[in-house]
Amino acid sequence: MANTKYMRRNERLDRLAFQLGEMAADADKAGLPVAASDLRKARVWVENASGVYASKSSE
Amino acid sequence: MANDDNQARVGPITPGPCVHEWKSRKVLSFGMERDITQCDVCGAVAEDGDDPREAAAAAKIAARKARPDYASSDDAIADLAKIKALQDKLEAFDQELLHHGLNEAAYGFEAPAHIDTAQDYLGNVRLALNAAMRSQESAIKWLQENEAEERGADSVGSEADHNYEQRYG
Repeated sequence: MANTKYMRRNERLDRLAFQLGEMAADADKAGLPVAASDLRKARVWVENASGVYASKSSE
Repeated sequence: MANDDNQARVGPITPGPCVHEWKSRKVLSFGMERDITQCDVCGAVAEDGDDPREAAAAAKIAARKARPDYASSDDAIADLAKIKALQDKLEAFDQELLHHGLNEAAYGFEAPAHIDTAQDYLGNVRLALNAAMRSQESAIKWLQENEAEERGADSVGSEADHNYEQRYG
Protein backbone atom coordinates (compact mmCIF):
# COMPACT_ATOMS: atom_id res chain seq x y z
CA MET A 1 0.00 0.00 0.00
CA ALA A 2 1.30 3.45 -0.87
CA ASN A 3 2.67 5.43 2.04
CA THR A 4 0.34 8.45 2.12
CA LYS A 5 2.71 10.52 4.24
CA TYR A 6 5.45 10.37 1.59
CA MET A 7 2.86 10.84 -1.13
CA ARG A 8 1.65 14.08 0.46
CA ARG A 9 5.24 15.29 0.82
CA ASN A 10 5.84 14.44 -2.86
CA GLU A 11 2.75 16.46 -3.91
CA ARG A 12 3.73 19.46 -1.77
CA LEU A 13 7.26 19.53 -3.15
CA ASP A 14 5.91 19.25 -6.70
CA ARG A 15 3.76 22.31 -6.00
CA LEU A 16 6.77 24.18 -4.57
CA ALA A 17 8.84 23.25 -7.66
CA PHE A 18 6.07 24.64 -9.86
CA GLN A 19 6.12 27.90 -7.84
CA LEU A 20 9.89 28.16 -8.39
CA GLY A 21 9.28 27.92 -12.14
CA GLU A 22 6.78 30.79 -11.90
CA MET A 23 9.24 32.86 -9.86
CA ALA A 24 11.96 32.22 -12.47
CA ALA A 25 9.61 33.57 -15.18
CA ASP A 26 8.94 36.63 -12.98
CA ALA A 27 12.70 37.16 -12.53
CA ASP A 28 13.16 37.02 -16.32
CA LYS A 29 10.43 39.63 -16.73
CA ALA A 30 12.13 41.86 -14.14
CA GLY A 31 15.40 41.69 -16.14
CA LEU A 32 17.20 39.41 -13.65
CA PRO A 33 18.50 36.48 -15.73
CA VAL A 34 21.02 35.30 -13.11
CA ALA A 35 18.36 35.10 -10.39
CA ALA A 36 16.07 33.32 -12.89
CA SER A 37 18.79 30.78 -13.68
CA ASP A 38 19.41 30.05 -9.97
CA LEU A 39 15.67 29.71 -9.38
CA ARG A 40 15.50 27.11 -12.19
CA LYS A 41 18.47 25.22 -10.68
CA ALA A 42 16.72 25.27 -7.28
CA ARG A 43 13.60 23.93 -9.00
CA VAL A 44 15.53 20.92 -10.35
CA TRP A 45 16.69 20.03 -6.83
CA VAL A 46 13.24 20.42 -5.33
CA GLU A 47 11.97 18.11 -8.09
CA ASN A 48 14.74 15.65 -7.23
CA ALA A 49 13.66 15.73 -3.58
CA SER A 50 10.07 15.24 -4.65
CA GLY A 51 11.13 12.20 -6.71
CA VAL A 52 12.75 10.64 -3.64
CA TYR A 53 9.48 10.92 -1.71
CA ALA A 54 7.58 9.58 -4.73
CA SER A 55 9.70 6.44 -4.79
CA LYS A 56 9.45 6.09 -0.98
CA SER A 57 5.68 6.38 -1.19
CA SER A 58 5.45 3.35 -3.46
CA GLU A 59 7.70 1.12 -1.30
CA MET B 1 10.85 49.69 -18.09
CA ALA B 2 13.82 47.54 -18.98
CA ASN B 3 13.91 46.88 -22.72
CA ASP B 4 13.76 43.41 -24.27
CA ASP B 5 17.54 43.30 -24.76
CA ASN B 6 17.85 42.71 -21.03
CA GLN B 7 16.49 39.20 -21.43
CA ALA B 8 19.76 38.24 -23.11
CA ARG B 9 22.00 40.07 -20.67
CA VAL B 10 23.78 38.46 -17.75
CA GLY B 11 24.46 39.35 -14.12
CA PRO B 12 22.55 41.29 -11.50
CA ILE B 13 21.62 44.93 -12.18
CA THR B 14 24.43 46.73 -10.38
CA PRO B 15 25.39 50.17 -11.67
CA GLY B 16 27.96 50.92 -8.99
CA PRO B 17 31.07 48.90 -8.15
CA CYS B 18 30.56 46.31 -5.42
CA VAL B 19 32.86 46.48 -2.40
CA HIS B 20 33.21 42.67 -2.63
CA GLU B 21 33.24 41.25 0.85
CA TRP B 22 34.60 37.81 -0.03
CA LYS B 23 33.81 34.87 2.21
CA SER B 24 34.76 31.22 1.79
CA ARG B 25 31.96 28.68 1.99
CA LYS B 26 31.15 25.13 0.97
CA VAL B 27 28.30 24.47 -1.43
CA LEU B 28 26.68 21.33 -2.75
CA SER B 29 26.63 21.14 -6.53
CA PHE B 30 25.16 18.10 -8.28
CA GLY B 31 25.71 16.11 -5.12
CA MET B 32 29.39 17.09 -4.77
CA GLU B 33 30.68 19.44 -2.12
CA ARG B 34 32.98 22.18 -3.40
CA ASP B 35 34.72 25.26 -2.00
CA ILE B 36 33.87 28.67 -3.37
CA THR B 37 34.63 32.25 -2.41
CA GLN B 38 31.53 34.41 -2.64
CA CYS B 39 30.88 38.11 -2.18
CA ASP B 40 28.32 38.65 0.58
CA VAL B 41 27.10 41.83 -1.09
CA CYS B 42 26.56 41.08 -4.79
CA GLY B 43 26.82 37.29 -4.91
CA ALA B 44 29.81 37.18 -7.31
CA VAL B 45 31.45 33.75 -7.06
CA ALA B 46 35.11 32.77 -7.39
CA GLU B 47 35.63 29.00 -7.73
CA ASP B 48 38.24 27.23 -5.64
CA GLY B 49 41.67 28.26 -6.98
CA ASP B 50 40.33 31.25 -8.94
CA ASP B 51 41.49 34.75 -8.15
CA PRO B 52 38.61 36.64 -6.46
CA ARG B 53 39.87 39.85 -8.11
CA GLU B 54 39.25 38.32 -11.55
CA ALA B 55 35.80 37.18 -10.44
CA ALA B 56 35.13 40.71 -9.16
CA ALA B 57 36.17 42.18 -12.51
CA ALA B 58 33.93 39.70 -14.36
CA ALA B 59 31.05 40.55 -12.01
CA LYS B 60 31.49 44.26 -12.73
CA ILE B 61 31.44 43.68 -16.50
CA ALA B 62 28.33 41.49 -16.18
CA ALA B 63 26.69 44.16 -14.02
CA ARG B 64 27.42 46.87 -16.57
CA LYS B 65 25.93 44.75 -19.35
CA ALA B 66 22.85 44.05 -17.24
CA ARG B 67 22.16 47.70 -16.55
CA PRO B 68 18.94 48.63 -18.30
CA ASP B 69 18.36 51.91 -20.12
CA TYR B 70 15.37 53.63 -18.58
CA ALA B 71 13.41 56.36 -20.31
CA SER B 72 12.16 57.75 -16.96
CA SER B 73 12.39 57.12 -13.23
CA ASP B 74 8.78 55.84 -13.29
CA ASP B 75 9.90 52.86 -15.39
CA ALA B 76 12.77 52.17 -12.99
CA ILE B 77 10.34 52.38 -10.03
CA ALA B 78 8.05 49.85 -11.74
CA ASP B 79 10.99 47.42 -12.03
CA LEU B 80 11.90 48.06 -8.37
CA ALA B 81 8.38 46.95 -7.41
CA LYS B 82 8.87 43.73 -9.42
CA ILE B 83 12.13 42.97 -7.60
CA LYS B 84 10.52 43.69 -4.21
CA ALA B 85 7.61 41.38 -5.07
CA LEU B 86 10.10 38.64 -5.94
CA GLN B 87 11.92 39.17 -2.63
CA ASP B 88 8.64 38.81 -0.73
CA LYS B 89 7.72 35.67 -2.68
CA LEU B 90 11.15 34.17 -2.03
CA GLU B 91 10.88 34.70 1.73
CA ALA B 92 7.42 33.11 1.87
CA PHE B 93 8.63 30.25 -0.32
CA ASP B 94 11.72 29.60 1.80
CA GLN B 95 9.62 29.28 4.94
CA GLU B 96 7.37 26.75 3.25
CA LEU B 97 10.29 24.79 1.80
CA LEU B 98 11.91 24.59 5.23
CA HIS B 99 8.63 23.40 6.69
CA HIS B 100 8.10 20.70 4.07
CA GLY B 101 11.67 19.73 3.30
CA LEU B 102 14.56 20.17 5.68
CA ASN B 103 12.72 19.19 8.83
CA GLU B 104 12.67 15.67 7.39
CA ALA B 105 16.42 15.32 8.01
CA ALA B 106 15.70 12.75 10.69
CA TYR B 107 14.56 10.26 8.04
CA GLY B 108 18.15 9.97 6.88
CA PHE B 109 17.67 9.63 3.13
CA GLU B 110 18.72 11.88 0.32
CA ALA B 111 15.69 14.20 -0.06
CA PRO B 112 16.89 16.63 2.66
CA ALA B 113 20.27 16.88 0.88
CA HIS B 114 18.47 17.83 -2.35
CA ILE B 115 16.47 20.48 -0.49
CA ASP B 116 19.71 21.73 1.05
CA THR B 117 21.19 22.18 -2.44
CA ALA B 118 18.03 23.94 -3.62
CA GLN B 119 18.42 26.29 -0.67
CA ASP B 120 22.01 27.05 -1.68
CA TYR B 121 20.71 28.24 -5.04
CA LEU B 122 17.95 30.22 -3.33
CA GLY B 123 20.67 31.87 -1.21
CA ASN B 124 22.31 33.01 -4.45
CA VAL B 125 18.94 34.30 -5.67
CA ARG B 126 18.56 36.26 -2.42
CA LEU B 127 21.99 37.89 -2.90
CA ALA B 128 21.16 38.75 -6.52
CA LEU B 129 17.82 40.30 -5.49
CA ASN B 130 19.44 42.29 -2.66
CA ALA B 131 22.07 43.63 -5.05
CA ALA B 132 19.39 44.42 -7.65
CA MET B 133 17.34 46.34 -5.06
CA ARG B 134 20.30 48.47 -3.99
CA SER B 135 21.30 49.06 -7.58
CA GLN B 136 17.77 49.92 -8.65
CA GLU B 137 17.39 52.39 -5.77
CA SER B 138 20.58 54.19 -6.75
CA ALA B 139 19.52 54.17 -10.43
CA ILE B 140 16.16 55.74 -9.47
CA LYS B 141 17.91 58.40 -7.39
CA TRP B 142 20.22 59.19 -10.30
CA LEU B 143 17.31 59.36 -12.78
CA GLN B 144 15.26 61.58 -10.45
CA GLU B 145 18.19 63.97 -10.00
CA ASN B 146 18.59 64.16 -13.79
CA GLU B 147 14.87 64.75 -14.27
CA ALA B 148 14.89 67.50 -11.63
CA GLU B 149 17.82 69.17 -13.40
CA GLU B 150 16.02 68.93 -16.75
CA ARG B 151 12.84 70.41 -15.28
CA GLY B 152 14.91 73.25 -13.82
CA ALA B 153 16.60 73.90 -17.17
CA ASP B 154 13.26 73.94 -19.02
CA SER B 155 11.37 76.19 -16.62
CA VAL B 156 10.90 79.98 -17.09
CA GLY B 157 13.37 81.97 -15.01
CA SER B 158 15.79 79.08 -14.92
CA GLU B 159 19.54 79.48 -15.04
CA ALA B 160 19.45 78.57 -18.75
CA ASP B 161 16.89 81.34 -19.43
CA HIS B 162 18.91 83.78 -17.40
CA ASN B 163 22.05 82.99 -19.40
CA TYR B 164 20.10 83.31 -22.67
CA GLU B 165 18.72 86.70 -21.68
CA GLN B 166 22.15 87.94 -20.66
CA ARG B 167 23.67 86.80 -23.92
CA TYR B 168 20.95 87.76 -26.41
CA GLY B 169 18.92 90.35 -24.54
